[in-house]
Amino acid sequence: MKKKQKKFTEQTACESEERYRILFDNMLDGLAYCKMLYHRGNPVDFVYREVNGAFETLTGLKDVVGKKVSEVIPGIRESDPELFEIYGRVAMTGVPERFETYVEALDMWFSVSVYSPEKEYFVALFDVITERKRAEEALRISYRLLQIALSQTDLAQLLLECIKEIKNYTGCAAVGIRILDEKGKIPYQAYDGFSRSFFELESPLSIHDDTCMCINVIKGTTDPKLPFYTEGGSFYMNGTTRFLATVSADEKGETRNVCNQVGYESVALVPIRFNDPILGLIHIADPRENMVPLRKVEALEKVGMQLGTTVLQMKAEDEVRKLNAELETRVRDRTAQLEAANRELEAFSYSVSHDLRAPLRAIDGFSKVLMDKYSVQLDNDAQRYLDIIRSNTQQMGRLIDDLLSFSRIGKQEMRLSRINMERLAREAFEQIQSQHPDRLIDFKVESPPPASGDTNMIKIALTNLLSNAVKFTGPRNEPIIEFGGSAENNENVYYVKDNGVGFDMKYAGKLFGVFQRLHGRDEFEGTGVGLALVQRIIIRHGGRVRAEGAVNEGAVFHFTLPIKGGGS
Amino acid sequence: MTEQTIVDILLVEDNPEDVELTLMALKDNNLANNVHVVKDGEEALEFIFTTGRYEGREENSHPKVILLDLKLPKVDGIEVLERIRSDQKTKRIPVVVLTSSKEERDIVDAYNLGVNSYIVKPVQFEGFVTIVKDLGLYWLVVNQPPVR
Repeated sequence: MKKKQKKFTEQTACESEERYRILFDNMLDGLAYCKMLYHRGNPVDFVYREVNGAFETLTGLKDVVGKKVSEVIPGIRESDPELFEIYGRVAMTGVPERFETYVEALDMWFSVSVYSPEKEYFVALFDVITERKRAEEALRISYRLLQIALSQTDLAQLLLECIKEIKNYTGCAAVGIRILDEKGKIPYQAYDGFSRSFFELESPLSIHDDTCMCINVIKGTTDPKLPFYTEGGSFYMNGTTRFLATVSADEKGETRNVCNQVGYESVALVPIRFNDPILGLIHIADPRENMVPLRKVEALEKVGMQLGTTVLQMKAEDEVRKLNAELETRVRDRTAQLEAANRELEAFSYSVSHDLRAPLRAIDGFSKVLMDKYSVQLDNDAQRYLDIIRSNTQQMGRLIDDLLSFSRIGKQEMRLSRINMERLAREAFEQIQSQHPDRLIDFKVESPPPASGDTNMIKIALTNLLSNAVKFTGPRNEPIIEFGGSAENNENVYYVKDNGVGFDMKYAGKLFGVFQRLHGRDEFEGTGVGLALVQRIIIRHGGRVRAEGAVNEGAVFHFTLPIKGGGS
Repeated sequence: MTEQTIVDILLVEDNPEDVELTLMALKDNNLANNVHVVKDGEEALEFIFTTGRYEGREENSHPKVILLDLKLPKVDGIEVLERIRSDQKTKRIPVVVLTSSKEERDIVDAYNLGVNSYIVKPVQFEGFVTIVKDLGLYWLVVNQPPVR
């Protein structure tokens, strides 16, 4: 029974161990079972007692069991002392810890969970998180640059802030940003850490005349098969002197090697681009070797793309600002010109108002005197001629008056108020009717909506339309004039309709022009200014005018007025 | 000292045809006896303030009405009006602007300066005659002038 019991126990232990072995070998996380070595109570080294398969796969370290870590990874004690502190503490206290760490000696990031099965021993369970960490790092600078881009409106200032971030990220001594200009030069728009003389020597480089790594990157003529170019079109070198020693004197002559001459061992040139066109580059340099590892250069390529967008956007904004300033100047100039022209026009109409009427009065007055005082000496023809002279002077007088009121409407200030259109139309019509007491006209008003406008101007417009209707219904036995309107999409549409002589629609376009008349003076009198005046008033209110008609079938004039003011 | 001692109407008008037509209209209505014509603003001021060409004219003998054109050589009508209204001795003289101008600016300026009436001369002779006759009758016959 006892034997059986023992066998069972052994068997169970065996099975258990087997299960653990399978787990140990197949788990994806790396596992290392180690013994800590202390010197005077301080953890100084540790020995690998056992590691699983994933340990090798993840770290790339082989045959470590039985060896000290200082043998497996030389220099780790000096480069990563905090690792020993943590492991030493856990092995001593037995309190498990979990942490993320960068092991410089391996250039890798680890996520580690460590516990101690017995004193001075520890088990480290870990995963390699280098990729994630680098992505995070690149994302962080990307995010930081985005913040800068959003907070800065000045391109030079923005670039300077970017340079600070890039310096921080790479730890390099000098960073500059060069932007390609229209002439093919690539001046530094901003730089930090380069000497003044270096800036002056390098800034005027031209993509047409110079040969340099900078130029290759700007032109996009980089060959990713060469060890110092990346897939993303960057140049990077972590030991210029070392590299130049492998190159023949002839090959050296092809490029300028200025960076090397001023003592920069690490140099990287990363394109700033917006999709395809390369707009410039980020220039990073440091006198130490190995300062621009590929992973950082690749992270900066993303930054370069981001910067490209920003640079392009800010250039466009600059352009808009420049155009706006130019436009403002032009508007100012044009306004001054217009104001001068306006003053001249005002002086002109003032002079017309004063001076053009006086001679007409003399012509008319003395013709009348002639007719009255010398009627005996004048025969019928002479009398008729004097009549013609007088009727023409009077027509000219009306023309002058109409033209003046036409020009006055254009410059008058508008005082908007609510207008009862029915009342206004009736008032206007009564005034016209009183000048033609012999005419019997049926005037119908069909509940037009109230308007918003300058009452005086709208009255002038209505008076003109109604007196036209009165005039052109002259030959009718039963003249009818209708006025009405309705609201249609944000505007009121009004009409004045008559059953007068109408007009031919093919001349409809001419109706509203100044001095345009569709009838002879012997048919209907008029100056041809009335409808032009109506149009001017309605347009100033932000409305439109339109006419419909047919010969001998009457006419309808429509005009619109915006419901809420508007116009100039 | 001019020959004329009593002036009922001072006509300030530079256009000789307008002067002749105005006088003709006044004469037809027997209102032209005591009309004095001056050809520009400067002469008008000399007449009113008895200086220059009118030095020695009876100072307190003011016309019953001044018919004033606005567009005048040398000194324009608005300025003449301003000078008349700003002097204690002359500010009560009735002044009627009789002009071709329908400019709102002129009308407003004239009323701001206390013009008694603003008349736009019509082109048509009959209308003109009627207005001049009405004006003459009103200011010389109907209206009670301030004490001379």
